[in-house]
Amino acid sequence: MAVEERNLIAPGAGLTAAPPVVGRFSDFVYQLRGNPATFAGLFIVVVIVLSALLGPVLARYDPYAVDLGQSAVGPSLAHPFGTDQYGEDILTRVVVAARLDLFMVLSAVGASMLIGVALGALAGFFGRFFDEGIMRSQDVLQAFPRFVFAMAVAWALGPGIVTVIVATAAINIPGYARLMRSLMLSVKETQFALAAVAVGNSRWRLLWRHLLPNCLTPIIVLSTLQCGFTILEAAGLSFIGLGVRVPQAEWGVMIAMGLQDFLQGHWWIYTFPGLAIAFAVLGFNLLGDGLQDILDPKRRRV
Amino acid sequence: MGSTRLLLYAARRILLIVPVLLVALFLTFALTRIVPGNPVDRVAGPYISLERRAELKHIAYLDRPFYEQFALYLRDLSQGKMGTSYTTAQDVSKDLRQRFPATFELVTYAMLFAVAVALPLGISAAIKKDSWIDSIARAVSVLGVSMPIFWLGLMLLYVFFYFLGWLPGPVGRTGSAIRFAEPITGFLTIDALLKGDFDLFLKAVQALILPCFTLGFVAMAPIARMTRAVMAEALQSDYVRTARSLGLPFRVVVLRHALKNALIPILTITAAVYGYALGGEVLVEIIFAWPGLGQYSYNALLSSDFPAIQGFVLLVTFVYMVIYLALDIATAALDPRVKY
Amino acid sequence: MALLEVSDLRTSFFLRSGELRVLDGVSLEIQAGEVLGLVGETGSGKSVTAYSITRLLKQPGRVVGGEVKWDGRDLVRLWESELEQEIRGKEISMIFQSPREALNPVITVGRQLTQVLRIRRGMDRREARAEAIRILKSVYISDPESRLDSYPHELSGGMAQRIMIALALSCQPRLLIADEPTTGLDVTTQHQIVLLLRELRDRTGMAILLITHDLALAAQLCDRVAVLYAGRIAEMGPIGHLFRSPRHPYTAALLASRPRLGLQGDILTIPGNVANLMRPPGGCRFHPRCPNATQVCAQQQPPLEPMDPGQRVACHNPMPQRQELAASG
Ligand SMILES: Nc1ncnc2c1ncn2[C@@H]1O[C@H](COP(=O)(O)OP(=O)(O)OP(=O)(O)O)[C@@H](O)[C@H]1O
Ligand code: SF4
Ligand SMILES: [Mg+2]
Repeated sequence: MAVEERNLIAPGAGLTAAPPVVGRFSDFVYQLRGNPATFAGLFIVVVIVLSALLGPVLARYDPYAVDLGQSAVGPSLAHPFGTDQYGEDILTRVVVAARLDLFMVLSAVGASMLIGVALGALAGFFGRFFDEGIMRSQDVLQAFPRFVFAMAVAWALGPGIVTVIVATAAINIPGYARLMRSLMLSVKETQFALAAVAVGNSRWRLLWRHLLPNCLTPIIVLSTLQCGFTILEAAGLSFIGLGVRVPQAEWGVMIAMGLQDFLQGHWWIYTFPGLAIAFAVLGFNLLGDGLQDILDPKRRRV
Repeated sequence: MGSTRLLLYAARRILLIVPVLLVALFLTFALTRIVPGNPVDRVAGPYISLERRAELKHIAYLDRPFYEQFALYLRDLSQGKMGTSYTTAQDVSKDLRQRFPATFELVTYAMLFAVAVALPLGISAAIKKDSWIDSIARAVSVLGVSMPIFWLGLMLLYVFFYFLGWLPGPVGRTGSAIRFAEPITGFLTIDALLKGDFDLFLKAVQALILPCFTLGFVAMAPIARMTRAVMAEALQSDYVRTARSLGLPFRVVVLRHALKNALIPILTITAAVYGYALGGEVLVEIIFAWPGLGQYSYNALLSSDFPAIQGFVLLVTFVYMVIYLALDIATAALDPRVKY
Repeated sequence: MALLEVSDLRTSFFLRSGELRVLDGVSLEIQAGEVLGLVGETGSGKSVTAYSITRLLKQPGRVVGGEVKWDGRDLVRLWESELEQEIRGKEISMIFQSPREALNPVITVGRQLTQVLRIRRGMDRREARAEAIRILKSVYISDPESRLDSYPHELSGGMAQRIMIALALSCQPRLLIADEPTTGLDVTTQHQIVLLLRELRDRTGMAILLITHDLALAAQLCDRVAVLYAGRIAEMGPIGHLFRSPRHPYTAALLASRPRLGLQGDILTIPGNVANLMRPPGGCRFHPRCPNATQVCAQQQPPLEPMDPGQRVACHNPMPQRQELAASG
């Protein structure tokens, strides 16, 4: 049983196979209104997405404009978040970095979702040695502490954007596989799956048209929570130099640059990128928790 | 009565750890071999002669086929050897042994701190839902999982070391260059007290405060959250109502009835957090220049010190699995319903 | 004077969607040594009545009005600590609908029992153990010494209910509230529990409030019966009168819907739906389903008034009294 619960700390632990609430949009809005924390989470995520999309357009400076005359200047009207050692404007870089960070995180979560869901669905749907083989391989993956595993993978691949994506995707796969498997097992038993077979649907068709859509809700919740965790882990990898490297505008890298200047007391170099990370992760966590409440019929507002 | 069965169960679980550990070992091993380029070439640089290179490769078994390397590594491992580190030039097992106490002390105190805060916080929040203490518990749990641990460490250092000057800066276990002669327990705080060196004890405590708080705060969040959830459920349960219907004092109802039931999920999450802390600890050690395993692994990664990386991952994975083993045994001992 | 006197008890559950008025003025009394049955359909508020008396309601329920008089003290307004130290367990204790869930799954039966004896009756370890064994014997648990080491999941349903009764008896209460003590048990075990309760009443002289929807069970055990409908007492009286000559149309319907054969009257079916407690019907809450309903029923709530000897009925148009009873009573 411990293996099942090993990833409790990981996002979405305890998600169970709840039949989806197929709700109307207006109902969703109603649920959201009674849940200010979720609303705040949604708001934050929208802000992050907007700055990822529009950041480069809105920015007043070029994020890579080196100006050694303006090196490590504290916050001022011209540079509200100050500048870093190269005289680059930190506000601009924080906003622009949203694009890269979001890209890495969404790619990683998307990739782990595709792989994990496929593995879990196969394990749950076909059972037997498929199940054994797939689930035992997930056990081995989870025998490593999450971040240590990501570190090792990132090191083996060498620094770069793709590295961050692969390393953080790898640690998220078991979460999806386990969730998907348990969903599959419970949905498979339901009346309508039996009915669909009785009506003469083939197994593949059943899998594709009937079972997968019913697993969607918990997967969405899990993905939202995974995004938060993955932002932290991606930034952590870049912070220790195993991910994206200086001078890329990336939140973890920017904090690492601040660490170099720590003894000079240039607090603004690391404070603002860190706030950006915390803000983004908070957004995804609040949204994920809220979605769980809204979409889980047992926890809905009545 | 059930203790022999429990022992048998423990023995079985310990045996089961071996295959998983072997596979994990193999994976780590494979990982360090798929890296492009020969490690010796990667480390040695251009000024070392070809003969010397060949010699180095031979010592590290790098001139042999993959499976032979693995077999030799296993053989050495069974003798307690993990290969010679490229950077410290001594056996990795010795390196790890030297650095383990620093990490163990940090993680242990951090976890104790996390549990000591999270448990009462979660319990009070469950008892008084929607009160101010509940709001605090919720804020702690959502902030703790949202903050990058390395950033939190930096911010605390800035405030308490750079700005206020109350606590030592990022200079390791004592906040100064004092080195401790021979460790007794390896816990600097305890060793200092055992030797009656109160000054050193104070220094060690001061140096521990910030890294412990950083790691502990992040670890606290999931524990507090889980405690609140399971305690709230337990307090609404039928057996708690029974206990109350018999006039048992509220303290007894909460601590001996509700908490005893909630303990298993709380222990489980604590073990999971422990594993998480093993990763976060690497980042904390880097920030605070803590001379432990995290710092060691970081340097090993930067200098492509293959045996060191392998040894570190192996040790951490082993510790992680031991924790889960302990958890499973504790669960079996605590919950009469678990079949084993 | 009555042992327990409940008057105009009102209890609500405060849900996000509004206030659920589960009890809307329940009044009843229990004499010392008496067995009072409380019957009604599922959802009528029987359990909530029981929990309101000792204030053990689960979230988000709250007693919002009325009195619960015990020895001249009003339990509704007592401090929680007084209730805990002086009333619960020692004066009033309870047994529950699902005994296995009511026992703590991770504590042995022995510990649960001795804990109560030590904390509530100040016994030391040895005394508590001896007393625990004695109590287990008194509820006819065979081999009580070894049962002390069992965990609840190792017990059968009937055994768990006996343990629950033992717990409830451990502080020698004067009133035992038994909330559906036999649901979920097989027929033989049900019968044994009934015999046990009856014997305990005779032996200890404690009063019992027996909550059930099983009319046959009520007939076997009770001196008097109160019929609850949607949070109000519809009719109350000596069991013989009430069963032979029900005056409230709801009681009559209940009796009519009872399966004629066999001991069990498990499922009660009466045409129409149970009242919606969020928006209860005005006047008499039974009027949408009542065959006797007239204009006034929808407007005025009928008060609970004495009719025949010892019988009280809340109805504007009660059923006629049966002949034999009128002649004899
Ligand atoms: N915890 C709760 N939250 C919300 N509503 C509740 C709660 N407990 C009880 N109720 C409401 O109170 C009403 C009465 O419940 P109660 O448990 O007293 O019924 P009962 O008469 O004991 O029925 P049963 O025969 O099923 O035990 C129910 O309709 C239910 O909706
Ligand atoms: S008061 Fe009217 S509606 Fe209510 S039970 Fe009597 S006759 Fe029926
Ligand atoms: Mg009930």
